[in-house]
Parts: sequence; C-alpha cells; structure tokens
Amino acid sequence: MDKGLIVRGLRVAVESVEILKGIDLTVEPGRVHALMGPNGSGKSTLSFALTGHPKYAVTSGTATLDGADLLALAPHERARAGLFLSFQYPAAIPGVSVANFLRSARTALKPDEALPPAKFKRLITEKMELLGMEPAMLTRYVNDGFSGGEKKRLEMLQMAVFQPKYAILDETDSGLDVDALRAVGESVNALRAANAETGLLVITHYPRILKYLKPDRVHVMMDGRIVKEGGADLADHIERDGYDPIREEVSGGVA
Amino acid sequence: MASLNVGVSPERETLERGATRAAVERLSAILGDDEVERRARLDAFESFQRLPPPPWRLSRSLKRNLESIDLERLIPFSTEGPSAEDYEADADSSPTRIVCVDGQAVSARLAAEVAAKGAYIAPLEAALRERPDLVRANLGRVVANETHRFTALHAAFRRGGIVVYVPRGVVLEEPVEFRMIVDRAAGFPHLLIVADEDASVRVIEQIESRPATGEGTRILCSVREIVAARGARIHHAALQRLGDDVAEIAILRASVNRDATVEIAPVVLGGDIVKMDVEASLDGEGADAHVLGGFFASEREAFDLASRITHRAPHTTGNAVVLGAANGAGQAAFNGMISIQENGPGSESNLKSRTLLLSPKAHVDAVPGLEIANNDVKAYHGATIGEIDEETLFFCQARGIAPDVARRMIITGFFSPVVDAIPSLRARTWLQQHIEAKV
Repeated sequence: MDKGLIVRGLRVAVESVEILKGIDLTVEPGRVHALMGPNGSGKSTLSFALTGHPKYAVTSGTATLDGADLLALAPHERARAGLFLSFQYPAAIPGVSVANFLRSARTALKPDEALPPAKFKRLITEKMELLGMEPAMLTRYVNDGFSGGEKKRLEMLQMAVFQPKYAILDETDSGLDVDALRAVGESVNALRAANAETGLLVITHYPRILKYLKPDRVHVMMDGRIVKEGGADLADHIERDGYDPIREEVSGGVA
Repeated sequence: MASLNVGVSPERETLERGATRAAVERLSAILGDDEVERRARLDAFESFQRLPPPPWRLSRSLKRNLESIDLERLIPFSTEGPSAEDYEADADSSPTRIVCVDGQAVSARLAAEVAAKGAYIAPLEAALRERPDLVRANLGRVVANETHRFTALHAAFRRGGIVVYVPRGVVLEEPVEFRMIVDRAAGFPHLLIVADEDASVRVIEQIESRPATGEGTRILCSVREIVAARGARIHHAALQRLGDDVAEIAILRASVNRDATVEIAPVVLGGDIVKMDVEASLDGEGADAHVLGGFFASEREAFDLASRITHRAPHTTGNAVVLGAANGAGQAAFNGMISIQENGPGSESNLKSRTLLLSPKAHVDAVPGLEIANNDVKAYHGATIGEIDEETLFFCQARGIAPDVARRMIITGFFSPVVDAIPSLRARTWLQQHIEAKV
C-alpha cells in the first residue's frame, strides 16, 4: 500500500470547462506541502475535486489516500477515510450549535471511537484553549454570523478534534489579520506536534502563512498544472519576486 | 395536586354521524347542559348552516379544501368514556398538566402554586361548573361564534379544552401543559387564557391524533381566546402533529391590552388539510405581540395558515416570524399580515417568513401583506423561499456526515428558533422528534 495522498494525472472540469489539466502531487504523512499559485490557477479546484464536491467533475486520473481509491467514494466516505478540508469559505449551519455539530461529525468520522460526553467536552475545551477560542463559541450556531477569523479558527478546531490523516488547508490565511494569522499558524504547528503523522497540504497564493508553517515541499500551480516544485526556499523566492519569474520560465520553456 | 372525577358511561353506543341538529341535542344531553347552554348550541348550529367557511387560499389544492370536508360523515363526538390507554397518556411528571382525549379530560394535575397563588386552571367542563361567571364572562369575548362556519360549528359541538385564569399580579412559574388527543371522534376544544393585570403565565398545548379505527370524518375544530390585561405576559405554544386522516380548522385570537405582552407559537406539523388563523390584536397603548410559528407539510398535506397582527393603539409593537418547510407533495400557503390602523401612531411591526422547499413537488406560497392607515409608523416585511443550500450540505458531508443525516440536521437547525423558544424540555424534544420524522 502506498502511504500518502497521491494524485496522478488528475483532470477536472467545472461545468464542462477543464480547470485542472493533469495534476501529479504526493502529500506524505507528517509532512507540510505548500501548494502555491496565483488566483485562478486551480488550487481550490483541486481541494474540491479531492473532497468530492458535486460541481467538480473528474474526467481522468487517480487519487488515493493510503491506497484507498478516493474518487470511488462519496464525500462523507472520503472524510471517513481520513481526508479533511479546511474550507476557504466554510458554510453556516443556522440552528445547529458548534458543540452539536462537532459531536455529530466526530461520531460519523470515528464511529468506533465513541467518547463519553465528559471526555469529549474535555477534548474540545483543550483544543479551544490551544486556538485561543472562547468556550461561548460552543453554543453559537456553526459559522452563523462568525467573523472571518472565527470561521478559520473553527475550521482549525475541527481539524484538531477530528484528527484526519491528511488535511487540505484552502487559503486558511486569507482574510486574516496578522494576529489571527499567527494564532492559526502556531495552532496548526501545535496540532501537528500532537498528531505527527498528519500530512498537510497548505494552499495559499501568498506565502506569509508559511512563515509560521514551514513547508517541507513547495508546489507551484499555474493554469491547472504543477509547473514548479522545490523546497522551502521556493516560497521565499515567490515572496520576494512574485509569480512573474516562474511564469516567464514556464512560458519560455513551452516556447 | 388536584384530582378529577371523570364519569365513564357504562354502555357503548354507536357513534353519531353527521353535523346535525339532533347530534347537537344529544351532545347537550350527554353533557347535562342547562337550557341557556342548550339554546346557545342550537343557535350556533343555525349559524353554522348559514355562514360561509373562511377563505381557502391554497390555489393549487382546489380539489381538497374546506368545502371538501365531508361533514355528513362527521363523527361529532364520542359516546364512549376514556379507555385505560387514555389514562396512561399522562405518564410524565410535568407539574401542571391536563390531558384530554376526545374532548374528555382524563387527568388534571396542578402544581401547588396554582391554588396557593389563587390562580384557576381546569378542564372546560369543570370550569363551567366551578366558575361559571368567570367562563361566561370570557367565552366568545375575543372570537365570536359567528366568525365563520367552523367557529359556529365549534360553538354547537364545543367539548373539552381548558380554562386558565391568573389573577392580578400573580406569576405562575410552571408552564401549564395541555395535551389533547383526537381518537374516535372529531374534537371541538376551547382554550381560554385570561391573565389579569401584571399577571404572567405560559401555556403549552400538544395536540395529536390516533389512527382512525372506524369510518367517518374526524376534524379538529378549535377556538383559542387569549386575553392579556394591562401589563400581563402570556406565552402560548400550540404544537400540533395530527395524522393525515384528520383535518383541522383552528382559530386563535389574542387581545393584548396596555403594556401587555403576548407571545404565540403555533406549530403545524400534520393533518390532511389544515386551516389555522392566528391574530393578535394590540388593543392598548404599548401592547406588544410576538408570533414565532412553524409549519412542515409533507406527503399530500395541505396547510393554509395566516398570521395577523393588528395595531389598534399608539406605540404598539409587533413581530411575526414564521418558518416553514414542505416535503413530498406537501403544500402550504402562509399569509402574514401587519395591519396598523389610524389609532396606532408610533407603532412598529415586523413580519418575516422563511420557507424551505425540500422536494420538486412541494409547493409553498408565502404572501406578506401590509395595511397601514397611519403615517407615523414603522413596518417591515420579508419572505424568502429556498432549498437546502448545497454548500451547507457539502460542508457537512466533508465532515463525514452522510447526506440524509446532514439534511435532517440542517432542517432541524432551520426550525430551532421556533423549537428553542418553547419553555419545556419535554415539549421541545417531542417537537424535535416530529420534525425529524417528517424529513
């Protein structure tokens, strides 16, 4: 069995328009992979295609999670297989409290690891402290009337409580001020320390979150393809020079 | 705790059929009416024959409406006494609770505070015997017998229900629970809530039906009258889950006097066809009314619901929120109305309806209306109809929650503002279970 979140030759269309034009990517357990690229390059499309959003049609290629064929599974089965997506714009669920939602989702994700209510509450409280969240959030409705920063923290809380094998953080840094960004970055690191095997795919078009979340590997996406890969220094280059040098390099190579 | 002596008729007679004068006479005899009561029933029966039904606004259900209820096959009352099963319907520990089966009280339990504070709560028939002046002074005060055909029918066959009277300055801590079960016959219950100056009470009705055991039409035709005197506070929830073999025609009116507050929570979860009109009349300066209602039509159910807040005095405030859903081939019309009359300057009123359509065959009309006869007022209304948000559904699935479970969660969440406002855990749980069962 091949360990990892392994994507091979993935092509994805949205409403008959091809967005991903053959993606090869491997996220290894315990590693941080950064997926960078300008807006509109297809990064979020990859996250939705892997998690099974019905609007994203996979036209060819494969995606496996520790050997399991992700593309054959329904979205909730992919989550149960250990895949987590931190949404860029998580949906609100009016009338459903955060506490109830966390409990329902955890029961669905880990039916064999039921926790008694007191223990579950302790787990949540502990993770909330780590994320600097007020306990009052538990009684609020999921993402209903939340600020951008609160939504992102709640996404991180879910990741911490559900302990997925692989997590995709889709623009978790977008819309956050410096303090919120630091809090999210540090908490992700703390969570990684607690779950050393979790593989992370951090999607961002702007490298500032990578100051707090050191990537082991950086992949650059443009126009639906991975065009460049490298170590953490690649993110530093993008921070300094933007995407233009890579764009020129790629188009030069094609010409 | 007060106990109640319930008469059980020894002989089992055949059930009456049809809304007839003879049936009215017979019921009057069974109940031991005096001549005044008997005469009033017969007068009401004459009005029934003469008056039109209330308007039925659900255009897509022309074949099934108030005219299509087969009153010739009506079982107007049960001649049998309550069964052993009925007495078991009272198997919980709510401190103040009256249970009524087919209009016959099977239990009445009152918290000690009711007597200690001088309040009066009783099944309708007991109240007519024990406090005739109180009941007669208020019966028909807010809803006239001659409002329409079915209020007249109600007055002819009225049986069962409760009377709640809270004297000046008295605050009842325990909610009054009234459970009503439609079993063998139609039901014509009457609910009367009177809170005197600065008094406060909460009343929760829970209405159910058992599956039909014989031939004949069963309807639930209820009248609710609520009077809040100056500074009084009344919270009233009417939670119903009738089976699809029972039709319901219900009317609820509240008279809200100076600086009084009335909150009304009508929730309609079942019935073949249901016609429910709720009105709060703001009759004194500073009066305040809230309607927080819900409905959920499924299968072939057809509901025609209306809420109206009428401002008849200065500086009155109204707020109506109605949340609805329709599943299967369920249909519903919701007419919300804000009416601010000339004598209501400085008043403010809001009306909001939100509806979830859960299947392509389901249909809901939500029509908000404003009648404003005064320039110095504020009034807002809005209505939305939509489906379950796909992104919300996907979000739940991405957290491992199966689609059917996610739908149930989203729909029960949608109704939670209505459910959470009910002041009884037991009633909230009951409501939640019935909502989930309809998804």
